[in-house]
Amino acid sequence: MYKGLLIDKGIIGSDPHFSDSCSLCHKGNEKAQDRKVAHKGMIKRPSDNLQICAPCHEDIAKTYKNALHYTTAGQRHGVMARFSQEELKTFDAKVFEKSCRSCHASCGDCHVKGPVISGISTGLLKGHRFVKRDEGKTCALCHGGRVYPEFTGEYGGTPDVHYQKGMVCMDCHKKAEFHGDGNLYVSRHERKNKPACINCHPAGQEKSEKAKSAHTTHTDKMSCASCHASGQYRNCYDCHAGKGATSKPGFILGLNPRDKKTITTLRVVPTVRDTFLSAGIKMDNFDVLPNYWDTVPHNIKKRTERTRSCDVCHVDKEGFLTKEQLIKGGAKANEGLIYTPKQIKN
Amino acid sequence: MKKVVLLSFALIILIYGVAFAVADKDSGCVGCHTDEALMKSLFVPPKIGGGEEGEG
Repeated sequence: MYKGLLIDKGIIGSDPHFSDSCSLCHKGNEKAQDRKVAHKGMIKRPSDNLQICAPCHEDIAKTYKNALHYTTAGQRHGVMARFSQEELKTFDAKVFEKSCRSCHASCGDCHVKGPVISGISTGLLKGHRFVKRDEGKTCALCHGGRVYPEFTGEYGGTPDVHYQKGMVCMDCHKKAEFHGDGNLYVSRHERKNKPACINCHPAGQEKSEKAKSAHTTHTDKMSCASCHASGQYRNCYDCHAGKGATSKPGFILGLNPRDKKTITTLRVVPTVRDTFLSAGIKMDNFDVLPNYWDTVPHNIKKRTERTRSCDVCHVDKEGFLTKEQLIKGGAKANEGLIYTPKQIKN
Repeated sequence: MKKVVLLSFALIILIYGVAFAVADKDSGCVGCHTDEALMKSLFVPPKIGGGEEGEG
């Protein structure tokens, strides 16, 4: 949309970001009257280079260079255990730097112009104003495959109760999660400032005895989402480098692959045996990691069929991963996630 | 003293005015990118690819 390229003239005299010329950040030829000449050498995303923002935002630039949204280290960490040492070297050279790393967020992707996904961007967030947050035009684009459309109900289920109450991403995911704390993490699970349901909903504040009893019984045994995810969420299958994946809805319960003891909602990860074959990577250790990872579906609801009746899990075993349901040709590690709920003793 | 203050004030206003006027006149970027009709006429809709829908 052309409006995504339209600058609000009113901000030029009032915003300190415009106290110098456009070319200070964007380069190009500001004096040229011809379009091609003017854009020659222009840098579309100047804040890819954090030093552009660093003179005024020194602290943030310092921590952000190690933050996961900038390093994209989580993508490498999530798959690297499947590779031999040699394959990891190939992955780093041929896949990670050229593909995964291109997904990193520059400062401007969140504060000036929405990121480009499949060639589409929402453009300038507010006429090139530098905005603090605009989740619907920023987070929603990069996380528009699974989390965001689940959250808003766009994917087809009930919108997340938090969204219905007017909350958006940064009401739970705090600023420090994005800007980083200076530490170089390899996975989001390592961070200390992750959102947690109990931050706002501590145990003991339940209004009904039934809820209190259910929480006490299942504490440390199940994730909150196991009962409070409202329904199906998107699972992606069969991803191949350069070609993408296919998706279908599903609701899967099983053991958390990170601890092998708590029950949680699982989401299929689309990596298959030949995902990186075009880069010459066979994944020698493919079977080490499962094809399902713990997930918090962003379609949370207070009352679900599982909160209404114990039988849904303990008799009908609805949603629980079984050997028959495992992905065909999947990793051997998948079998370790199967859990069969026990009957309740009367 | 009063005169000096007034003169300084006038000078500051003059410098700001000239600076913005020069910036407006010189900057081809601002000239085009604030012109809605021009931007609309030059805009080419992106080709829609398949597959990717964002990660998380």
